[in-house]
Amino acid sequence: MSKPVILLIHGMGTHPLDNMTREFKAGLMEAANGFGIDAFDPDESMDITEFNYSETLDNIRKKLAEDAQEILDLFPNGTPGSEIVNKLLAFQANFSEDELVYTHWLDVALYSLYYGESIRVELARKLNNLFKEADNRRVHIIAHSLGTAVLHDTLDKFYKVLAPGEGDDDYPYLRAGGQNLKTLWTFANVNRLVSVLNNVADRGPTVVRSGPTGCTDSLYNIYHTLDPFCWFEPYKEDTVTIESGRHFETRVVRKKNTHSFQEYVASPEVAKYLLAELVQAVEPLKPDNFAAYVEKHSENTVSNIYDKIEAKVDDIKGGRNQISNAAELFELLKTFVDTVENIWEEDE
Amino acid sequence: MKPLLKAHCLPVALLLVLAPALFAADSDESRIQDNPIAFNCDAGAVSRDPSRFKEIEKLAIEVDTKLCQNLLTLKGGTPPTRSLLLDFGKQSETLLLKQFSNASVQNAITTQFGHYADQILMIEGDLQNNNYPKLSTKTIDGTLYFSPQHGKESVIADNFDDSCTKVTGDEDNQTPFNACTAALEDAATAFNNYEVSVTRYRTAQNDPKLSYLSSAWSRYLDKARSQTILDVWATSAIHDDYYSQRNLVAPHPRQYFFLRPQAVYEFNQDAKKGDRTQVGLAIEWFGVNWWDSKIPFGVGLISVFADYEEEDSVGHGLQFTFNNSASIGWVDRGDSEGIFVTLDFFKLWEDKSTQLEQYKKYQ
Repeated sequence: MSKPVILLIHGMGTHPLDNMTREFKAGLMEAANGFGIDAFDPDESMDITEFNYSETLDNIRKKLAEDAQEILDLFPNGTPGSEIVNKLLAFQANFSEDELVYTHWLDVALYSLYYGESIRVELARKLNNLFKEADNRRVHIIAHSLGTAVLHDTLDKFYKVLAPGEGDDDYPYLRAGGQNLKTLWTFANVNRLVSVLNNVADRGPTVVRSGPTGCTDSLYNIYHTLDPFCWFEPYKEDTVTIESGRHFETRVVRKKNTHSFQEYVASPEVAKYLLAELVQAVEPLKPDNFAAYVEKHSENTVSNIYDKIEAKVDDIKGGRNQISNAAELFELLKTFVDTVENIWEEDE
Repeated sequence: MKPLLKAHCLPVALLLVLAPALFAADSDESRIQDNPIAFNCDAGAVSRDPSRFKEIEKLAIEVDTKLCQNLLTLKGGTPPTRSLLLDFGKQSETLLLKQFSNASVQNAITTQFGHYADQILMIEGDLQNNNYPKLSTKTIDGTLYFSPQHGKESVIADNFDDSCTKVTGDEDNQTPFNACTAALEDAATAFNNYEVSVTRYRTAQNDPKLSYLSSAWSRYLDKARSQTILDVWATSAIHDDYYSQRNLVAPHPRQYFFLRPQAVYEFNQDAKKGDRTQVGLAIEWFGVNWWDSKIPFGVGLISVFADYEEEDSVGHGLQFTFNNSASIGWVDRGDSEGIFVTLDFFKLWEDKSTQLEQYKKYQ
């Protein structure tokens, strides 16, 4: 069996190249070992590549900061006009700082502006090249967090549903139903939330779907009940119907970060499907093997941690319906993170 | 002696001289045509693994080669293509039915090749403007499915016997279920070789367009007039329809500017001697810049705040930007008029640090 091609697309924040690949392999290997697959080596079974847009956004962020600082330097405090210039540019001059609001949230903001189109063009080039070189091999895409929005928007612009004999000479495209992905995996899918900001793809049905008019043979969507990024404009069973594939709701809490990509991949039900679809692994399909890994996987769960977090955050979750802008969303998420931190500290 | 030209003649003169440049950008089409499609049939379908279904694989590669040649030579050549593909389907179906004796598998093969033929009969127009159905397998929760892409799937019944194991050669003591999965997947892979060139051709057609878009964005991020986050927001909002269309696009030719601060040198002929040159803060209330025209050019409404002894400290006027950087403008201070330039105007002669040092001397 030829090696499938796996394209990984990371989420918000600074992601050095290969960071996501390491997390993917680690999660998958934990699961494969747990299912009893002997000597599983992801590199032997698949060709993994990343689409990394982290550096692009970091460069944009730093250039904006430098340009603002350049003007601020011309109007030192106390000089005529400095107060006005500070009001207009001081925030922008901080864009290169390492605080979470700049390294993570700013990614969402910058992607939602016209910079997003430059990233979508590069992702389309990457995907086009993968299909060019894949020959007869299966192409799978796995995206996490902001990467799900980047992917969704790009696929929505790049894939076209065309009748027999119909083409488009003006724009680059792939044919839905013709050059399809084998599977598409979205972890902590935020594309519906980002579409509120950038208005690129519809929140209703798009070409990013499985089925006869979709861009992929199968679509798998995974969310954790305590991942706050999945609470707003959620991409789940009651908002998106999947024709071939399914939604997964995960609940086990082993680490503080319920948004962790590696933890998502290692989740037993998810990993069973991942290994079956990507490398046709049959061991996870055996009930005994599956049960054994479920038990092993939950060994590191802190007892009752899920219930404790859920009890505390119910109020926070309830506040999501009062969110009217990005600043309020940020505050709510910050409250959630602080609450979870406190619960873990109490438990230790 | 009165100046020969009043300061407010400047904007009129500039507009007359530069108007043609606004419409002189190269068209997108001409830029794309600079990068023709690179495609040939030499690569073709490549066998990456030895297949158990060697005859099907051989047939598939032959069909792929013919399709590839037809892509390059035939325009709207549908009848030859349909016959070629229908014959290929029939031959492949016959070969597969000989290999699998399990009734459920045979039923699935017959059903799915029927779907294949139905889709082939719908092909029309140019070869590359059609979808070519591929076989595939899927195993979910212990059930094996066999289908062409997006067709109605056939479920392989779970009363597996050892007929698939005879096909796979009982590798690694496979269960009958696993053997059927592996065998059908192998058959699908061998069969699907037939349309590899069509996909390669589509990607080849995309290459020059994607290259153009990518280089346009690189050029924009490198060369266009720098913007504050407010400018970027304003530009994104005004061009919302453009960027949210259902196609990948190059950067819009127009940038917008909103509440943009900059430092300027102003010369006011009407001010008293010794007070004719001032540095000040210009706020571009609203501006537009054609960043990619033959001579990149922009215009904006500005106010300039400068500390004159006798003239109004606030003046309003127009600013003109050239080459995405240097700006020159005119400001009306009621009883007097001034001409100003931004620091970038001196970019041609000095580096930024020297400009900064010179500016600071005025503070």
